[in-house]
Amino acid sequence: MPLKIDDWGIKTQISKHELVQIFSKIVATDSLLFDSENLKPYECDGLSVYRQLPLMVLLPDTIEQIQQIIRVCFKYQIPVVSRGAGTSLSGGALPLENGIVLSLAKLNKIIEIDRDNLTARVQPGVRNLAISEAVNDHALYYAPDPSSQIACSIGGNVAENAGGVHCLKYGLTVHNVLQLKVITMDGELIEIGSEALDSPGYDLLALMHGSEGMLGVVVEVLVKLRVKPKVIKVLMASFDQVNSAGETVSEIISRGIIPAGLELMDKSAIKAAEDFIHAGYPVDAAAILLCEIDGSLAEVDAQIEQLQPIFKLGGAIEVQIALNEQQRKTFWAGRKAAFPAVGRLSPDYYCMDGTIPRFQLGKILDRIHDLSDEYALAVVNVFHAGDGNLHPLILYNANNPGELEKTEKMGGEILAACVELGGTITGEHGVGVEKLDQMCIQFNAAELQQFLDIKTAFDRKNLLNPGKGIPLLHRCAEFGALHVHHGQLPHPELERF
Amino acid sequence: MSSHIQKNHTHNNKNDQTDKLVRQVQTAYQNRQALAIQGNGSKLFLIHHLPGQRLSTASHQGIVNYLPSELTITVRSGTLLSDLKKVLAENGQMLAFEPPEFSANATIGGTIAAGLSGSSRPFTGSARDFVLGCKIINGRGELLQFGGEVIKNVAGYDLSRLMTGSYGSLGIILEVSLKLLPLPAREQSISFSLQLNQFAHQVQRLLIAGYPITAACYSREEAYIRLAGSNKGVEFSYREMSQTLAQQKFQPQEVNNSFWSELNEQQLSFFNQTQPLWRLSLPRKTENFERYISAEDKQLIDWGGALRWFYSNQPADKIRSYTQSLGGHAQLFRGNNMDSEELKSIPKQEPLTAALMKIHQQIKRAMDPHFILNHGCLYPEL
Ligand SMILES: Cc1cc2nc3c(=O)[nH]c(=O)nc-3n(C[C@H](O)[C@H](O)[C@H](O)COP(=O)(O)OP(=O)(O)OC[C@H]3O[C@@H](n4cnc5c(N)ncnc54)[C@H](O)[C@@H]3O)c2cc1C
Repeated sequence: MPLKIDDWGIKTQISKHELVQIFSKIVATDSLLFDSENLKPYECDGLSVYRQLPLMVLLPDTIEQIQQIIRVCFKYQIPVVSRGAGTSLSGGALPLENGIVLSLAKLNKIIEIDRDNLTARVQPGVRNLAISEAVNDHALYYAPDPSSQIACSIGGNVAENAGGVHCLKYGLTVHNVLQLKVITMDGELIEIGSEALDSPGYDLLALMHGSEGMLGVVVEVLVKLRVKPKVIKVLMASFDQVNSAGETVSEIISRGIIPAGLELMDKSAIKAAEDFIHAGYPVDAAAILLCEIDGSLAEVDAQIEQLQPIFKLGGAIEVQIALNEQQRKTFWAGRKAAFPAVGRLSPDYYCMDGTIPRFQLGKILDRIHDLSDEYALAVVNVFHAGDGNLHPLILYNANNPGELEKTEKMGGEILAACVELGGTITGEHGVGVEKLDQMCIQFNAAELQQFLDIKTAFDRKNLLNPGKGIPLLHRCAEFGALHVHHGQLPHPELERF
Repeated sequence: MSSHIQKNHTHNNKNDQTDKLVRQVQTAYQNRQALAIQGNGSKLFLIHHLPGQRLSTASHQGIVNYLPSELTITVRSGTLLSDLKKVLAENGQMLAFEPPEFSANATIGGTIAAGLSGSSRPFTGSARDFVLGCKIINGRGELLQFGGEVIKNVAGYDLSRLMTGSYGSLGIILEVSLKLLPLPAREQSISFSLQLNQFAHQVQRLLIAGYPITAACYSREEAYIRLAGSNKGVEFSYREMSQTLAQQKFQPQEVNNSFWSELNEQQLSFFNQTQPLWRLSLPRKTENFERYISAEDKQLIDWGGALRWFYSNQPADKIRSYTQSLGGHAQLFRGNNMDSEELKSIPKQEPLTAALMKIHQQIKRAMDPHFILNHGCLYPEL
């Protein structure tokens, strides 16, 4: 699928051949890939409809090597796309034709676990789940748990501010990181945050989270660890109407209960997951809610007691409590395998990531339903219901000419509807290359220009992942959605790159 | 949908000062006129003198949108923190970062601009953790909106959280959207005598034992712990924790929960001392701090060990140097008996490294190209 990349006007000052020679003095031969056969595995990330071979791929194994590589790229104006595990669903790690891919995969060591301070210091390529596995024996864990946690890297999690099922209670990546070591595009190694809970100056730690590799290369992460809850219970409530499930979600939260996780699946998601995993889901239900409660035994009992009547009044036809750890895991297994399960239903699916205020759930589901009819494309809904984050999966077949374009158009309409309902175009997957046009809907020209200025503040030559995350203003003008006030672009005095 | 879910407190617009404030900043931008931004001035003691024309957000008041079932609120920056807390409490909710007021007229804008968090901070999160979005005027006089009212949002850079703790030097906060939490059904606090060097370790043990701790402080040979949660949950945990402590030969006693607000507002008698007051942010378990303390220095430890309120006449450089060597930083919180010349010469905030300062300056320039917003309030270079 051809991709429209904004022209950031980068003029590389060196030939590929010369560059290979320079880099081969920095990294070992097997850490420098430049022929197309070796580059192939890096041509896309989790959004595989877009593919592009990079100029070359480097796999450094030390921070010093990264610094040297960055300095070379700065000098000769070579775009740099950092890459963790390549599971991004928005094309954030998609290579650029004239740029290098900087893979952090070899920096995969857990440097230190500090039980006294409940922290772990890790390299950026460490897999999310590997952290929890490493501290499991101490009854600790790292809370943010994206569904991709067996594969995705902590550096990628920081860059996307990844969320997961348990973020409702325990926060996103930004709430669970204390310190970063970052290499800026001028080759400087800076420490952002500290082992203490706050730091002087601006909150650069927050700014780095979700910045999609555009502000710096994350080379070390100090994460917070949590004490595993003593008791965890899961309730599964089934409903004969999706809307009653949605309203029950609001009701639970307005009654002062913050479950550890609160997920909604619609009928088609239930069926797909059940066929695949046999989790014991009620296939006749229109929707199920999975609600996890954790804490001390007394706390969990008290909350379950409160929850039962809420489910009942909300119209649940059945409420099951997982009897043991085995059943709890099975209940979750269906949810966690929802994506691959849908993958069995359809040759291709397209995963959306809009977020809405919870009370708008009914409206957005109706809208998605209408769009699904209009475009004649089926949709499966899995949903981080507790925090309003939707993942509608649009089913399509890329081999049918025009169907991908149709799917993307429909996806764009879903996101526009999320913005209209007071939400956002992306809750956790990032903008990448995928949602650049929708950024023009969510933000006006002055706001986008402010983002671009922040980008330039960190990276004045605009070499870090250029063309991702933030659209250039002329793109929005072409897309026809630039909110230009009184016919004027902001700062007409500024050169547009 | 039941009615209490959609209880939408949309207030009238007569206190909306947006247009007036935008015009003032636009004019200042054109004239390169420095602006001194303030709410009601309750946190001004934390920053350096503000030169320039006064810009006040104090009358920009009101709740813009409040949906209790969404656990979010959007509020204008001049709204009094006390008013906001009251509305939230009426709906069984709270600002879980327990911001200190320090004065009856503290505004929410100043609270976010100062980014201060109370005793719950290590357990439930800091001010910035609860910021979801904001509407600001940047140094060009542009009205901009970032983030939103939803809990998960990664569209664009996180400029809302960046505003937190920036003391107005990057933009004038007009509105802020905050995540709320339900007020716990029950809170119960306990205290027991303990040696100072045992405190962090003891807190750690209680955390690992799974107690729902939301505050942990140490003052004058006593540890104080607060539990929060459902009625039954807290009742049970409190009883079990008391028994465990008693078995360890401690003599736990219940203390009034008002202890925590007195601590946050610095109304405990500990805060009556006359030396300069430093706020030291340190790793939770910092073992070697006491070796730097002299006999007349006094400290109160909050945040389960990660925050120390430190009264000391020791020279600023010395305090900063050992705090830094222990992995933390030192903020001069109140000058108290320090002579006024000396006070002027000491940076209130911990100085930044050259590399970090460079980035700070570039960010400042990106948001406020003429450096007109609260110039020099944090650092002379910003
Ligand atoms: C099946 C599946 C399920 C998923 N479920 C979730 C989910 O539940 N929640 C969620 O939030 N996401 C989810 N994702 C998306 C994805 O896993 C996350 O965005 C993840 O954080 C990406 O990590 P990564 O290591 O794969 O990063 P990559 O894909 O390699 O990179 C992502 C972005 O981060 C940048 N980057 C990577 N490493 C660094 C670094 N060290 N320094 C600077 N920038 C860097 C890249 O340039 C790119 O812009 C899912 C993806 C899949 C395929």
